[in-house]
Amino acid sequence: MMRFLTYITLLLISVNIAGASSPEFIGVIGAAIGDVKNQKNEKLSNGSKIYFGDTIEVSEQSNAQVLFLDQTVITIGEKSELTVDEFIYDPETNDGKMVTNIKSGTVKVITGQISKKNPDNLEVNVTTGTIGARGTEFVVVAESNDENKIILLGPGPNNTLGMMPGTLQVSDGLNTIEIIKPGYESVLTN
Amino acid sequence: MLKYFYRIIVVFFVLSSAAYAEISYREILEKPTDLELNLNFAKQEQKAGNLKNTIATLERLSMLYPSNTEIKLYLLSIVVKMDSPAKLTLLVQSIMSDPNTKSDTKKLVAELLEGENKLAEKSKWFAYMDLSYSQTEDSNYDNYSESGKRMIMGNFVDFNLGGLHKYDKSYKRGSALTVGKNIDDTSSLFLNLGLDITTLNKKETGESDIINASASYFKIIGKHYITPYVYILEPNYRGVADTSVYGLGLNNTYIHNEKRNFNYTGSVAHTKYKPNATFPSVKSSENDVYSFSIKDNINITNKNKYGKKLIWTQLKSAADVSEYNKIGFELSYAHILPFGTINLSNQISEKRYRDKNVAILGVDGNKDNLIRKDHQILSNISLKGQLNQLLPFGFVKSINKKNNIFYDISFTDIRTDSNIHNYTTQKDLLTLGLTKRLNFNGLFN
Repeated sequence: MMRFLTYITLLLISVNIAGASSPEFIGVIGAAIGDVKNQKNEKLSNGSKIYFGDTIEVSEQSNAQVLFLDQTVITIGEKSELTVDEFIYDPETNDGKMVTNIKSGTVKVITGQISKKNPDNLEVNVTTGTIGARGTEFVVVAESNDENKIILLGPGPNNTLGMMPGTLQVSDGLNTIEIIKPGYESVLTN
Repeated sequence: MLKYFYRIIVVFFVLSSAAYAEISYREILEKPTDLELNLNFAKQEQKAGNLKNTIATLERLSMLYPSNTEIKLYLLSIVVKMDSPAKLTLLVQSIMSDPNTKSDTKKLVAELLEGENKLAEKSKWFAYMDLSYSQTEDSNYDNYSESGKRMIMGNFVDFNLGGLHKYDKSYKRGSALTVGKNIDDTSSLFLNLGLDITTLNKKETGESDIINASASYFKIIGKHYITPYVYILEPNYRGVADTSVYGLGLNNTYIHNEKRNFNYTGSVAHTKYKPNATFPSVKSSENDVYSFSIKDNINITNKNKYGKKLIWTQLKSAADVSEYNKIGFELSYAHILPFGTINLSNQISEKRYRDKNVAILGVDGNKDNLIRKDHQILSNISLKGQLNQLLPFGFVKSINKKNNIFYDISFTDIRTDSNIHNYTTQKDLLTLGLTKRLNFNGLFN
């Protein structure tokens, strides 16, 4: 009888632990300057964990940098809002998929391992289209719901750091253009 | 002096990293604000060639420790080597506008940029080489007439194909070296030297080596984008007389507004023949060609446009029979697709010769005063772009990492109706080509 009660107790404890365990985080706030919060209106500060489905809102005169598990780094400027719609990452194989949605503001992206393994698996959505990136850094300026500017920052083909030049594929859903030269931009409109 | 100071800072940062054990990315996720840990991580990643991690880390530390000058200069020392003026401008603007940046740092950054600009001044020269290969299938290489007949000295005879070919395939290998200089923000100079070698599958006559050289100058004046140019061609054709061609021209695009621009061109070319024992009387074929065109381009969206073009060409020759006037009109449409840019064009033209050709019509001219007049319809469809766009496969991407291989697929149908049977012809041309661009800009840095 005692053994039976012990099993029941252990079972209840293990169920309780499983129920209480928090979901896996997908990244952290590397830097939060000013007023940065999530969709639950919780203030995010340096080191705060980011979870799948989180929305990060950055207020006026504020900015934040988010470090993701696959080494993708997103810097979010003032008056900006970004949601992580999908994040799957296997650190053993670097396989994964990341989908983010930029709703407003200015957001800079430095691609990480997911994009390095398969560029098609990093997707940045804006209100007027989609951006795919390979080995690069770029800025999205969401000027309105009807207009988004995407600027390739590099590195360029003549960099002396041994970095692989990056490219962007910008699509409005019907057509796709490729940006290969740093400083060149594409404007997606509705 | 300040430059040396800056270099010492960078060298110090890089060398001092050797003293630390390897830091994992997981540790950074746990302590993203730890100055010493993150700085050592940045240096470690720089040494390992993971520059993106170095840049992201230094940008974060700049946000967290805005008054730390060394971090900003360390970041700047990397960004100036990224070949990205846009990124450099963003960084400099953020440093200069940051109230935390001390005046000494601003002065240092300004000096550094001046040094970089001087380097850039020296690097205003640029150079690249295009290596190309294409093959063209020609359904009617020797312009066999539609009727299968041709007139010689006033008599209709069969269009004898002895030594002539309806179908042939040509292979063209080309190389062209361009050296240029950006004189200022609105003007550039280009010098070009190239060699094209064409061989044919069946025939020998028509095979050629053509050396070409050109110089052009590009200048923006207000809304005008002007390019005057001169060129010389030295063709060496098998089985025909050798020539030299000297030409000059002007190309100007006037930007009316975002949606519309006008392009107009004018050129003149002189072809000089070189008589020899085989071709003693070719001097009479020497000619001058004058060309003029004006094109109205309408950008429908940022992905497609159409154009209307008027063309006029006149050939003046020592032999009156070769002289002609040609007037044409072309409609074209271009559309950017995910795998390249598709171009469609259709050109109709009329070519009127000046004098009757006695060799064809005969001395008496059994068709009295029948002077040649051709009507031509030329239709073309082409697809051009980067090879990676057309074949987005791992193997192709691995051989085209710098996105510098371009493809060109073109199909042309030419139908000519002439009042002289000999020249009523039809032909199709299918061309497949690849071009690889080698960039030599590093030579000038």
